[in-house]
Amino acid sequence: MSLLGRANRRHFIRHPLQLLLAVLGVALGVAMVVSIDLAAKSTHRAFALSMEALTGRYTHHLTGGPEGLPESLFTRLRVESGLRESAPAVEGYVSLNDSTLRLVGFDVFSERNLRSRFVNAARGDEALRLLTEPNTVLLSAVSARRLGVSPGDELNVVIDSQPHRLKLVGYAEGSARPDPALEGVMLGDIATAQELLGRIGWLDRIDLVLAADREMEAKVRALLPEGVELSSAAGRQSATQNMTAAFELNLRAMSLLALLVGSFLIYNTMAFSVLQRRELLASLRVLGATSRQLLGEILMEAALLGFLGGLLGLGFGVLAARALLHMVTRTINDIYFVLTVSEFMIDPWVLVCGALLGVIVAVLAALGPAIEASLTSPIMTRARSGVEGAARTAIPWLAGTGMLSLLAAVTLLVVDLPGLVPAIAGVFLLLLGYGLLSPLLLLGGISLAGRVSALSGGWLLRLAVRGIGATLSRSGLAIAALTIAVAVSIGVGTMIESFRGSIAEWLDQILQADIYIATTGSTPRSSPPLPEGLAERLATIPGVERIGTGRRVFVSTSQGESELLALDPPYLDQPGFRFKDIDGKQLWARFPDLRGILISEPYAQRHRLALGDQVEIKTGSGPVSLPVAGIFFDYRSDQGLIVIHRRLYDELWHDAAHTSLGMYLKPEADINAVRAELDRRLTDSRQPLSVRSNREIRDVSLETFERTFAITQVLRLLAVGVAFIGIFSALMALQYERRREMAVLRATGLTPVQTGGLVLLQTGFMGLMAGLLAIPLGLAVAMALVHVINLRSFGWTMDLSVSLPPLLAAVVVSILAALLAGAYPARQAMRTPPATGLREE
Amino acid sequence: MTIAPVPILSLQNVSHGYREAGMWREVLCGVDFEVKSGEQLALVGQSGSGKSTLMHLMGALDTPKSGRILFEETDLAVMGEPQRTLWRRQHVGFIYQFFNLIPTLTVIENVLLPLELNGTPESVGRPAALDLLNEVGLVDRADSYPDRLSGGEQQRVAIIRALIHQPCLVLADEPTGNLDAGTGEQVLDLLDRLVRANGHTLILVTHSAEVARRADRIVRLADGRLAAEART
Repeated sequence: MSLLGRANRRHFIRHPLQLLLAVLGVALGVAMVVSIDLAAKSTHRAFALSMEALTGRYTHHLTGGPEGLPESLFTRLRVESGLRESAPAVEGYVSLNDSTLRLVGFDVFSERNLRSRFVNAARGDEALRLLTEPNTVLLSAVSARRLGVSPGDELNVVIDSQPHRLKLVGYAEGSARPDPALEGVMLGDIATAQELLGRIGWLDRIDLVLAADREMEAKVRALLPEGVELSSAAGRQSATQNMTAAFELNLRAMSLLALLVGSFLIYNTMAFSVLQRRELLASLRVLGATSRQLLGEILMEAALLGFLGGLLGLGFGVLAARALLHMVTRTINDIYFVLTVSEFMIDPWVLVCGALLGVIVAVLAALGPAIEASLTSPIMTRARSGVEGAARTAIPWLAGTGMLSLLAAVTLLVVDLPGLVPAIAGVFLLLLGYGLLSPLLLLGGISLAGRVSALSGGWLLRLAVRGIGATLSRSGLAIAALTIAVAVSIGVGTMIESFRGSIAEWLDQILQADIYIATTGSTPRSSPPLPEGLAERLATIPGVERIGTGRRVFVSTSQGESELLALDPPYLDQPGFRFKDIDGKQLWARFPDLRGILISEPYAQRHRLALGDQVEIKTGSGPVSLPVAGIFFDYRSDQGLIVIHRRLYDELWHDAAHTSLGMYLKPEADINAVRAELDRRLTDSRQPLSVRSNREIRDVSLETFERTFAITQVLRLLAVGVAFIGIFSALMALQYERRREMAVLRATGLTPVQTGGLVLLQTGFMGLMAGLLAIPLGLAVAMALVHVINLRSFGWTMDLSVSLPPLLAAVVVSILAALLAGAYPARQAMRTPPATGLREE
Repeated sequence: MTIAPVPILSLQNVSHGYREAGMWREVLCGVDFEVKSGEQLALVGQSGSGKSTLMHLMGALDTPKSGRILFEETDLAVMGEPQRTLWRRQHVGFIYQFFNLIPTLTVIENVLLPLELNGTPESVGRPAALDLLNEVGLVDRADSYPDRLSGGEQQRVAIIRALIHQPCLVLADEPTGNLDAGTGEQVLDLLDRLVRANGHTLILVTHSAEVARRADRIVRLADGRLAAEART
């Protein structure tokens, strides 16, 4: 290493705490990005493996209407079109030891070599036992080990809330080595699966190998009855995976936010290190070091720092990813589809990108201080007051740039640009713009505080406030970093509160019945119908006033496969949904006669549909084009929902089945008595049913909501953690810089307690300023998250709900964080003998 | 016939000043003089007379507001900052009152730094640096950091750092200002011996008449103007 490099590098060795904090700041930022990426990659990998396992060589799928596909269609296909490379499938979910498994019913004879992963399962003794013994299943060796079961064991499983006893007769991999792709999969003979899932006579899917065989495809199409859809396997896979894209993008944005706060930390460290080395840099300039050499040196230092932080961040990231993986998978399971991730995959590319990100962010963050260092004058004309003077001159420029950045942010957020990236860029510009504006706001705050302190007569307070003003170039940065972190916390917190409020209100609106009975949707695509005549039978229970019905199916539309709910609400005076832009009461009153569809807001958003637009739906009576008559707020899924009245459904599908019932009780009815009678009447039912009260559904929904946002809360806390390190580092450096001033004050008569008090007053004031400045930014971030990010990500409009206590709490947290960060520097200031401080100069 | 030494540095009508609180403050006003190659010149004057400013200008640390500073045939006043840096690196050695050693480099590294900046590898420069350190009695402190050395020792290191790359011009700003009388004497003796032995030109800024008397010529500044010039 050159002497120039050594001279600079050793500065950090002499200030190890400063070095450690900077490295830690980068490390935490990189760790967040890497952990999110690794968790996402592992879920993608698990998803791809499970799709590969279940898709095999198949190129196409046949899917059907509300009940699925009749079994007879499979026979016709094989006999009439001669398509040998085809296999039926029935799928559902099974709970075993608190774990959810995907039960796949497959036809041993049809499979052969089509799904390579099933080959072992379709051969040998295990296959024979699946065919000949009832309730026998195979499990992947990986899952069996995880669940602590082995061949020969009885498995007590729950399917659709009903207990079943199955027998594990072997591993899905046969004698081959464990296959992670089969993790979470339980294989059974198709007849067993049909019986367990209540799908006797019906199939969920028929998988086909058509490849580019156009002639065969035409033959197959000719055989398909109305409502049966032929789709490509790849298209379906990508559609399923796309579901989680917005969710993952939001997580990435949160992790990048932490990196942004981390970059403030690097800027802070580098700026301080340049300031501390002013004399050293000036000496080097006198000796002949060029500006460019110094610029290169500081940037090299930053790159090294970023690299070290990046490496440490990779370690933290891998550890955190394991924890996050669980949270991410749980959210995907709650909102999108069931996914079991057994294999934690460390993608080397993610690690390389993470390390590079650390270096790039560090170099970018250090650019300003590096330029400052390169401009160091060899004759040291710029004393501390000169540096501060230059910083103050820069404030209007910074504020101007900040205003431009805010303007760009508002443009990106207000203009309805496609995709989520412009909106996320808008939020980042908002934070950056406000950060640049904050020195000006801070100056105003300091001036005001100066006047107040002058009036109060407290000289220590006056000294503290002036001290911050005198070191604005450094303290301002620490305050800006804390402001941004607290603002993000306020913004995310307000968004979550708003979301919770909107969901609670939405649940109140849609849950009008007192008790709900439904088939639990054991298959991902369609729920088996309720027993015939159940609605009529339950209507006779004493205390029941009316029964509403629902039929949930998946249909093919011009927008792709969509979930459709046919409703028959017993009361029309209170709309079942809150509608957007139209009078909901009027629309609901004419709902029974409506020849149109009501679509959820996410559906409208996803498919860019507006009132009056036509949607073509493939019905049991052929394709029908229906206008969008209303758009309602809905938070159940970001995939969207179509709602029509039961009358229209009956007319178009000729399907009398229901999948859910809503029981409306008389005002005087005792809900417990009705539940008891209901349970008694349902005991005979072979059909597994879910019976839940209005309150239970509400509680479960809110619980799911809290789970979904658990990961956001973790990321939010981490961002504040990074900012805390930032302010701690800044205070330490400030304290170091001011040690002579403190020594002079001590020599003049300030007691150690007063010295510590002075430091704490300053840090407390910095926390107060950051907290106060964070409120407007936090609210702006909340508005952006609620009205733009969430709407564009998931299609959910929410009411922004702002209350004073969380805002005040944020200010208190900010002050406490600053005081905590100031505790150590205060202790140092108290313990340093004045002679040491004076000698050091 | 004897050939008169050629001027190595020629200042022609040099003026300089600073803007302070919106007001222009003139520090140097129309200064003219020459320094001959190998000459030892003392620049004396009271505090605020412009000595240090003039030294900064002669060392190309700054450029005058007007006038010319010719180093041989080159006008330092018209050079850009990168050129001045390269010139300074090659031709000037600085010695300061407060030593200005790099605290993060060891004694030997401090001495080697000017060589390295001029492109001489550490391995090549090391024997010469050790010789010089030996000459000033500090070879056993080669691997110590400056804060472990006394003031006199630090200044001795600063002197050999200023001379190691054989500059034409050595600029010393109050080199004994921070040392006791005895140590100051020793340092000046060392500086005198090394400068004369290697034929360097020395410009010494001081307000001590005693120190100034060691030089070949004394130039006195008062209120930014050349007040007097005398041979010792």
